[in-house]
Amino acid sequence: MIISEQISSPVAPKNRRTVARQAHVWLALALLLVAVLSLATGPTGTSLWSALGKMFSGKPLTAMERVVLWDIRMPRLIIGILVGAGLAVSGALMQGLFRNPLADPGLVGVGAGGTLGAILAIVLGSTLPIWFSDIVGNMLIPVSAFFGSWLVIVVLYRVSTRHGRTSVATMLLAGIALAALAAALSGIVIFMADDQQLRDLTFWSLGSLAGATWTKVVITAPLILIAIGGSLFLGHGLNALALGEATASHLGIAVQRLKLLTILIVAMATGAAVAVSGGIGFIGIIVPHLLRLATGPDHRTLLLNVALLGAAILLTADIISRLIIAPAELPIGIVTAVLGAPVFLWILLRRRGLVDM
Amino acid sequence: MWLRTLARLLIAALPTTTVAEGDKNVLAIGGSVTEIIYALGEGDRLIGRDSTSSYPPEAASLPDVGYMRALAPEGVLSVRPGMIISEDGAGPPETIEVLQAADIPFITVPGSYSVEGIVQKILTVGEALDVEAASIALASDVRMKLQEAEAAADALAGETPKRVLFVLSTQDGRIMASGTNTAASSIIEMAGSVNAVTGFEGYKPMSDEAVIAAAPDVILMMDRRGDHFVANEDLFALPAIAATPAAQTQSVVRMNGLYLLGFGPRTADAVLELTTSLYKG
Amino acid sequence: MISARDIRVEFSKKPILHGVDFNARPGEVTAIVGPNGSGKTTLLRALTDEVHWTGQISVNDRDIHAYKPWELAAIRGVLPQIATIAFPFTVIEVVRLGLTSGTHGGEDRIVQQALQRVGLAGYENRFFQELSGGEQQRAHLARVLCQVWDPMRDGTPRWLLLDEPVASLDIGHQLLIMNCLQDFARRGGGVVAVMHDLNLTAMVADAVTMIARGEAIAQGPLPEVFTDHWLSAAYQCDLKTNAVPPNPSAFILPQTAALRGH
Repeated sequence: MIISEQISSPVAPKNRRTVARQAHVWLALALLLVAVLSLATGPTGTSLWSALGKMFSGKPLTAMERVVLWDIRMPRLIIGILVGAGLAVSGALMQGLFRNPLADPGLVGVGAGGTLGAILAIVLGSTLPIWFSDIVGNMLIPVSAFFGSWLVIVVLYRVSTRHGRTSVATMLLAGIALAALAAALSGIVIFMADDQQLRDLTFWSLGSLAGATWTKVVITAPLILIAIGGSLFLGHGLNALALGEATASHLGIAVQRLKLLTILIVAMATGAAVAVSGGIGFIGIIVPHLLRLATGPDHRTLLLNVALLGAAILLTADIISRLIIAPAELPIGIVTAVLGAPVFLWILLRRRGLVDM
Repeated sequence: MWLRTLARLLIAALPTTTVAEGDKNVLAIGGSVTEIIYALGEGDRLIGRDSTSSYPPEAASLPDVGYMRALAPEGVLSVRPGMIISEDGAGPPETIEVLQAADIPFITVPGSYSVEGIVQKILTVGEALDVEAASIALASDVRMKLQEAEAAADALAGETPKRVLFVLSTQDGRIMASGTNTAASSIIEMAGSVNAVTGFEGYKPMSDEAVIAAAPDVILMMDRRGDHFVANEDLFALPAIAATPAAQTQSVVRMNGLYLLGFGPRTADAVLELTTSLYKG
Repeated sequence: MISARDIRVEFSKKPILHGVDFNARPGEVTAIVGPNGSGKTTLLRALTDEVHWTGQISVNDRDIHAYKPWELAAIRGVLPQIATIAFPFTVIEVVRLGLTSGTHGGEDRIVQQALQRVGLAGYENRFFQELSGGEQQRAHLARVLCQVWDPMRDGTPRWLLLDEPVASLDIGHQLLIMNCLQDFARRGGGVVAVMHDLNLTAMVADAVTMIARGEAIAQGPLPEVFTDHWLSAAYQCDLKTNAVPPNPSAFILPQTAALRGH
């Protein structure tokens, strides 16, 4: 009989799994609440409730109510949910793939590629033939950003995959190199830019949901929803991967396929998110971290919670960005950074023991 | 597309409200547009402005809808504009579309960096505000003043027009200067002088040697406060500038950005002031 | 049966294993021993496909390449020497990873029993990263046990492949674990373990493969391999097997009940 030692170190609460499952419900409710709040508030003071009242009693809405609620706030709400969830899940997936709580989608150069695409569109867009511009319309920047992200990821994958095996360590280093290359190319194009284009680029980089339109919703929703939905199947694999690739493989996980799927999902979700909303930071790191501390690192429940919380947090940031300096708007990337950085520092200081690797 | 039709139907069904003269419901976008509106005496009709509209001082008390190329649709709507008058280049396009779908008249005021460009701006704004008589008067007044200013400048410059380098910023010791085809370049020419840089268009960083080769007699800058302000000692200490004729005579002219480059009703005064600074020291 | 023929492994053109044959039978504990750098761990890693190898390997009469990853995982559990963990999982979460799907009903029962077997009862909710090296090793063993819980299922023997399973444990826990492995073999499973400690091996193993300088210099039942001749040849020093302590200095032996057969 071996006598167990006295338990003196911190212990996790029993049944973290149940807590994590309960969190699904709480977070979904929180998201619903914030969503309604998002739809009901705005600088014009248009009231959701009176509009609903009118709709139920058959009275027509004013043009202002129609435009504000349907044309402005609704697409913005949906894009906010998609982008928040997409970025947060991408962050969690990257951390699982690299087995490091500090990894974020930027490591695979998605952001740098997206920015390069956006810069090309902003600066060279006017040189495109008219027939092309007419077809693409306002979607030139998002489409270009999306292709930029994808190009970087494809190159990165090819560089890091040999004999059918992707080396995560190579990906990390190659990602840094590719991001630097993309930045250099961006710099060359920036040099050709005029004043207005530079400002456009600056605002794009700071991130914003103000340009949300139904067209963007229709294009990004399938991409992000499929990505998030797919990620929910990777939970067990990512848990196993936390023990190392060899162990994961001995546990029966098809490791290469897992890596490929993870990279694909991150490319889809982050690429689409960056394309329609520019550069929004911190969501990918903060949200998974908070949830790991609260409900444990089990990816099977973590990923869904991360999606819900990411969406709720981004919507909250959006409400702040719309109201704080109304009628002007603060770029949402600034709000997430201002909120995110102190929270991150606070987490690190409070729970030092659990973060040390 | 279909939304506009629907919006129109809805509006037709409601009691009509027109944008009557004297109603306070005009949103001005762009510093020169705002200036023109006040110059036409119609400042009382303004209900909001953008962040570049810093003159006259009364404009500062109006709600600010933000930077003109990054407008938020609901923010703009919240000031309840009955009409929007804007300089070229307002954006993003998604916002403009939403505003048009809300059936708010959006009048773009095209302009170029020239006397005729300014005249055109004034006439367009006047037409939008339904004060054409006043705008014609203002436009011809402005045209006359500008032509006088240009003539005076040419006279002062004579056979030896000064070479002027417009410096946008010297952050990190890099000289960001104006080439051709900019507001700065045009105003320099209106002041009877020569843009020291002809090798490129737009605002670009210049290498130190290129600055020296340009050999400007005078440095022209916007006057700024805060950390963008560069004191004379620091300016002339920069290696690129130190070797120019401008450094030898310590010649630098600073003027307010909107005043100098806005190409609005005050431009004639700006030209005169610039000319005086350049040639009379 | 695990059998391997002509296994060759090289790292950067340097040959580590020069054509090794290996056999392990179910119902037996097969130990792989040899000095450091001999290639014994490399042999195990070839069997578990962690290094690039040439030759033939078959598990339960089927070529290893014919297995899908999850099919192999169903019949073979692998315990690595070191396995770090990236996130703050608890012990029970790590052990549960070993359960293949399909045993939902008995899930926690099995996990609890596995923890008991390795002496970690009561450790369920402690953070894995906070455990000592030995405790982590035992937790991994619990995980691997959960993976192949039934040593014999439907007539198919299941396998445990372990790389120095007791290296960082104190003697009490070493005995516990070795007993656990022996029990697994007695119930029909197969155990292949790279072993560092010769005396422990002598107490528990049924068959031994001795690796030295990249070759299997001796294989077979324990008494045939653990002879003065082979031991000295492998370890390049004068070793004697002792039935009783012949010299006056202390020679630590556990209670006779723990020794095989005696």
